[in-house]
Amino acid sequence: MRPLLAVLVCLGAPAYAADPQARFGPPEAARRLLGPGGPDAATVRANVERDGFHAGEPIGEGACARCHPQVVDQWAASAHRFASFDNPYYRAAFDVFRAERGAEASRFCADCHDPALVAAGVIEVDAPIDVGTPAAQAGIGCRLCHSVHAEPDARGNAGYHADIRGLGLPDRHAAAVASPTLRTARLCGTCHMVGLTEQVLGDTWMRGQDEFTAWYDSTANGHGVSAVWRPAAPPRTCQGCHMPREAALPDEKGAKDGTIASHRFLGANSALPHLRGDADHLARTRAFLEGVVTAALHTPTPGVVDVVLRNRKAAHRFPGGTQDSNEVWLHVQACDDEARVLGESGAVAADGRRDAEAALIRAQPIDGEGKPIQRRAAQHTRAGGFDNGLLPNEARAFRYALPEGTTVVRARLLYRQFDKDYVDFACETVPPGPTRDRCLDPPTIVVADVEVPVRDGRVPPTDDWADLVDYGVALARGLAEHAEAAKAPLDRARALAPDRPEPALAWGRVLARTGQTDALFAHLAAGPAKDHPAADWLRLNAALSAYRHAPAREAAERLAERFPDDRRTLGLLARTRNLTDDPAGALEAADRLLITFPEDEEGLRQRLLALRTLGRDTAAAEATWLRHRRDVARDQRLRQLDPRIAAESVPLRLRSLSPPG
Amino acid sequence: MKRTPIALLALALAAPAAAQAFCGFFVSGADADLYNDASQVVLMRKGNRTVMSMSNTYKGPTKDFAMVVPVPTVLQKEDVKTLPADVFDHIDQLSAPRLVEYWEKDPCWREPKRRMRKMAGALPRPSSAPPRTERDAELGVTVEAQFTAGEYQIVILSATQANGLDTWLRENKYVIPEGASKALAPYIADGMKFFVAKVDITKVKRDAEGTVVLSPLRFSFESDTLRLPVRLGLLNAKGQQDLLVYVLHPEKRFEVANYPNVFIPSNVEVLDKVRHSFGAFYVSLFDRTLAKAGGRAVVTEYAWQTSSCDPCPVPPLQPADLMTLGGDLLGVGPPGAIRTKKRRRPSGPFFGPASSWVLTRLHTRYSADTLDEDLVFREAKPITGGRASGYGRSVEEAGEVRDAPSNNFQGRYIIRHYWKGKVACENPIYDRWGGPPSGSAGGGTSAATGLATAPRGKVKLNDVVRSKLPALDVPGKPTPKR
Repeated sequence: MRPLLAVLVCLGAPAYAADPQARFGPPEAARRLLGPGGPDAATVRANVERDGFHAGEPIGEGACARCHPQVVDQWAASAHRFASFDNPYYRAAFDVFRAERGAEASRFCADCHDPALVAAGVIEVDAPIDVGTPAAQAGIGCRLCHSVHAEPDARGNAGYHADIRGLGLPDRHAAAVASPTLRTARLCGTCHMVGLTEQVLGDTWMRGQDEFTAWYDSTANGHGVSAVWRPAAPPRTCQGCHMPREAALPDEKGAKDGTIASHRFLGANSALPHLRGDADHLARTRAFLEGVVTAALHTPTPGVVDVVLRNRKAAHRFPGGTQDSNEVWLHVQACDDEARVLGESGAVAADGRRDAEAALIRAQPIDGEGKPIQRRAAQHTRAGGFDNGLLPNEARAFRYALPEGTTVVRARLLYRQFDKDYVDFACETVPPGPTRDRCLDPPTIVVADVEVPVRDGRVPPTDDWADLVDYGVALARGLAEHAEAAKAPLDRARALAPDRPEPALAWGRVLARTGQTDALFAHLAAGPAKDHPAADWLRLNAALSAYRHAPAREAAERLAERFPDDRRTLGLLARTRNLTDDPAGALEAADRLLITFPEDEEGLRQRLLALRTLGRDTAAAEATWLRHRRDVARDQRLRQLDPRIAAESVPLRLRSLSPPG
Repeated sequence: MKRTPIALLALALAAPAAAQAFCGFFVSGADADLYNDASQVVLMRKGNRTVMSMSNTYKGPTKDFAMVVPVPTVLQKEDVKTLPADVFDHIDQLSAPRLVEYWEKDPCWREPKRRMRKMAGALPRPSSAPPRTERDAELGVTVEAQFTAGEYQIVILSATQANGLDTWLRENKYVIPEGASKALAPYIADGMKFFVAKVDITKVKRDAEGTVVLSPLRFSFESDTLRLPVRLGLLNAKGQQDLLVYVLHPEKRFEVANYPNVFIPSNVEVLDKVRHSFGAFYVSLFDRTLAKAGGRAVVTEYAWQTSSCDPCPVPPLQPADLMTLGGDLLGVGPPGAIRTKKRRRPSGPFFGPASSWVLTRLHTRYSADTLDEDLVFREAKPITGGRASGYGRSVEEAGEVRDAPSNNFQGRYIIRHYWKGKVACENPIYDRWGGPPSGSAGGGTSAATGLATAPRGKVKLNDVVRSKLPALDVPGKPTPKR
C-alpha cells in the first residue's frame, strides 16, 4: 500500500478533486450510494418544512436494515446520520460558506458531510441546495464507509474513494462491504483530519481540526514518545473507543461472538440528540463523557488556586472536533462559610451567554483582525489565537486569585456544544415550536467537578502522587521562567512514589525547558525513568536546544528504533541527521515520515534541506514546504490585536474571580 | 522541538583584541577588521512577549558594513525600530557599579532635629518582498522582506542551506567569518530567518571623536521561554567577550536558569587610589568573582525598581525610557508622561512613583569554552545588597546578599575618609558619613562604564580592598585609627 500512497502524494490531489463524482466510480455506481428503502420524497419534504430537518425513518438504508436492524438503528441516532442538511447547526454554516466562497469551494464541506449530494452531482452546481430532498437529508450512510476499500489519501480532506459495489450477497458480502480499511484509523482520518486549503482561506493553507494526528502521536496508538503517562491499555484505534463492542440482538446478522461494533459513534455531540428529543442517545453521550477529564485543585501560593485538568480518556485532544464552536470552559466559584459566592468566573447569564472572561478550554482560531472565528466560518481563519486544549493524558492548569474570606472553592469543567450566539444564528431554519426551543438550548454537561475547603488561603495538600505529577506537568507548561515552581510537587511525588518514572520525567521536562542540559542528562542517567521513551525524547530535545547534535542524534536513533513510525521522532531524526552531515539519512527519515503525513512541516523542511545538501533539484520540495509552512509572524501579529486573545495565549496567567452580578 | 524564537546571534568579524560583539555578526564590504566595544541587550518581558533591544557600538573603517542576526520570524518594517543611542547609556550608567565617597563626620557633632525631606529621580507602509532572482533560488535563499530603518537597510532572509546563505552573503559583497556556515546550520534547520542590517555609512551618527554611533535596534516577539543565544557571537571572537543583559520585568528580578549565578560583592570599601582606576579595579573584582565560580557563571550586578535609585549616578528610568525600550508594545502607560529635559546627576537617592519595573543587570564574560549554550532566564527571588543607610553606613556587610520583599541590589564601592581631626568630647560617635567638608571638592557617585575596555589585571584586589571578602580570598585591611 505504501508505494501507492507515495505515488498519490507525488501526483498531488486525487483525481476526484477535479471530478467529485469520480470518487464513487461510474455514475451508475454513484447512484447506488443511497440504497432503497426509507420514506418517500414527499414525506421527507414535509418533515423538513415542519421541523427544519428530517429525523424520521432513515433514508436509503432499507437493504442494510433487513439483516442489520440493530446496527442501522444505532446509526440512525448517530451524528454520522445527522451530518448533512438534516443538521441545522451544519446547514447554517454551510450556507454562509457557500455564499462566500461559491459552489465549487463548498465541496470542502460536502465531500464529508453531504456525500449523497456530491454523488448526485448537485453540490458543484451554482444554485441553491434543495434541502427538502432525500439526498440532502440522508446524512453519511452505510454505503459510504462500507465502500471504501483503498486506503484513503493521507491528507484527509475527504480523500476517500468509495468503490460502491453491489451487496455481494450471499457469499461475497464481506468482501464487498467490509474491507480491512474499515478497521483503520486512517478511514476515520479521511474526514477527521482537515487541511484548510487556499480555496477555503483565499491565500494560504492551514491545518484545521485534526483528531487523526493527535491520536497517531499518542500512547493510544502505541506512540506517545513524549508522554509522561504510558497507560497499560493496549493500543486502540478510533473504532476501539467510538465503536466499542456491544451485545448483539438476536436478529442482528452482523454479530461476531455475540457482539457488534457499536454504530452509535458516541462522542461529544450532545446538541443533536437533544435537538431531536432523543433522551437515550443524550444519556449515552453524557455517560461517554464521564471521567474523560478530571480536575484537581492545588495552592501555588496562599490566596491563589490552580485548577489542574487532565485528559484521561480521549486518545486525541480534548475537546476534539470543531475548536471554534465546542464550548468547554471552567466555572470556578469561591464561597464563604455561608455559601455566599464571593467571586466567580465562567457563570452563564440568564440569556444563556457564558462569562466572556471564562477560561475556554480549546484551541481558538482567529480571523484577520485577531477576533475569534464566529459562526463556524472556517474560511475566515487566519491564525491560531490560543490553545488551551488537552492532549491525550496531559495536564494543564488555570490559575485564579481567591477573594478574601474564601472558605470553599469549587471548579467545574462545563461543556456545551454550541454557544448562545451560534445557536441564535443556526436555529433560524428551524420553525418555531418545541424543536426550535431545543435547538436554541443545547445541554450543558458537567465533565468534571471538584470542591474543596480553603483555610488561610490554601486548599488541602494531597498525598496522591499521581495528582502531584499532573500538577508538576501543568506547572512545567507555564512560562519557562516559572517552570521550576514544579519542583515542590514533583519532589513530593517522588518521595511518595520513588519507584515510578513519572515524577522524574516531569521534572525532566522542567530541566529541558530551562536549558539545564547537563542537569537533565545527569537526572536521567539512572533511576526509574532512565529507559523510558520520554527520557530519550527529553534528551533529544534538550541536546538539540544546546547545539549538541551528536547526542541528539543518538537519542533520536534510539527512539526511532523503538518507534519506527512515530511522526515526531522521524521529524527530529531527519533534523539531527541533517545536522550531523548525513543528508541521505535525513532524506530517508523525512520520506518515511511524509508517507504517513505528507503535509508535515518538519518533514517537508528537513527533506528540502537534505535535497539541497545533496545537490538535487529542490523546486518542488520547496514549493510544498512553503505551502505548508506556518506563518509564525502572522500568528503573533494577529494575536496581539485582541487583548483577550493575547492574554489567553499566556500560559498559567492569573485570573480573577469577579463578584457575582 | 521548536527552538524558542529568540535568536539574536552576532558574529563579530575578525577583529583586533578588543572584545567582540555578541548578537549577530558584523560583516563588511571589504575584508576589514570590525569590532565592538561591548555587547548589550535589553530584554523587556511581560507575559510571553519580549521586546529585545540591542546596542551596537562599532569601531572600524568608514565603509559600508552590515550585521547578520538570526530571528524567529519574518520581521516587517513596523516590527523593527531604531532607538536613540543614549537610552543604552542611561540604562548602563543607572545600573553600573558605583563608586561613592564619604567623609566621616566629627565624632562629637550632634545632629540638629530636622524634618526628612524627600530627595529629588513607526505604522510605516508595509514592506514588500522583492521578486526572487534565479540566483537566489539556486542558493536556496529567499528575501522575505526588505525595508529601511534609520541608518539601516534591512533584508530578512530565509535559507534552506547554510552554504547557500554563506554564498549569497559573499556574492552580495559581505565578507563573513570562517565557520559561519556550520554555525548557521542549526538555525536553518530550525526554520529561523536572518536579519541582515546593512549600515549606510553616510547616514550614521558620529561622536565627538568621529566614532560611528549606531542606533540601537529593537524588535519584539512571543515566546514561552526567555532565551538569548550567544553562540554565534563567538565565531570571530579572539578570546573572551563581555555581555551585558538588562532584563526589565513588571515585578521580578531575573537570573539565568542554565548557568551558575553569582552576585558581585558589594558594599566593598576600597582605598582612595581606586578613584583613579575604578574601571580597572572593578574588572579585577569581576574577574575574580567569575574565576571563583569556575569561570562559567553570570554575575548579577544590579536589581532595583526602575523608578528609584540610591545613590543615583543618573536619574532613574523615566516612563518615556520604558516606552522606548518596549513599553509601547507591552502596555507600560501613556508615553511621555514624565520626562526630565536634561539628565541631571542628582546627588542623593531618588524615590519615584510606586509603580515601575524591576531592572536586573546581568554580566558575563565568556568564550566558546565557558558559554556554548543559549542563556535561558528565570525569575528569581527579590534581594538586597549594596545599600546605604542613613549617614552613609552600609546596610549589608561587604559581599552580603539578603532575601527581601523587594529588590534593592547594586554594586556599591566605597571610599571612606576617616576622621583625622581632634576628638573633643566624652562619647564620640564614629561611623557617621557624609559629603566632603565645606570647601573641599569630591563626593557624589560615579558609575563604572566602558568596562569591556577597562585594562585587566592592572589592579591587585588585595592591595586596594579594605573590606574582608573571604569568598574571594581578600583578607582586607584594618580600619585606620582615629
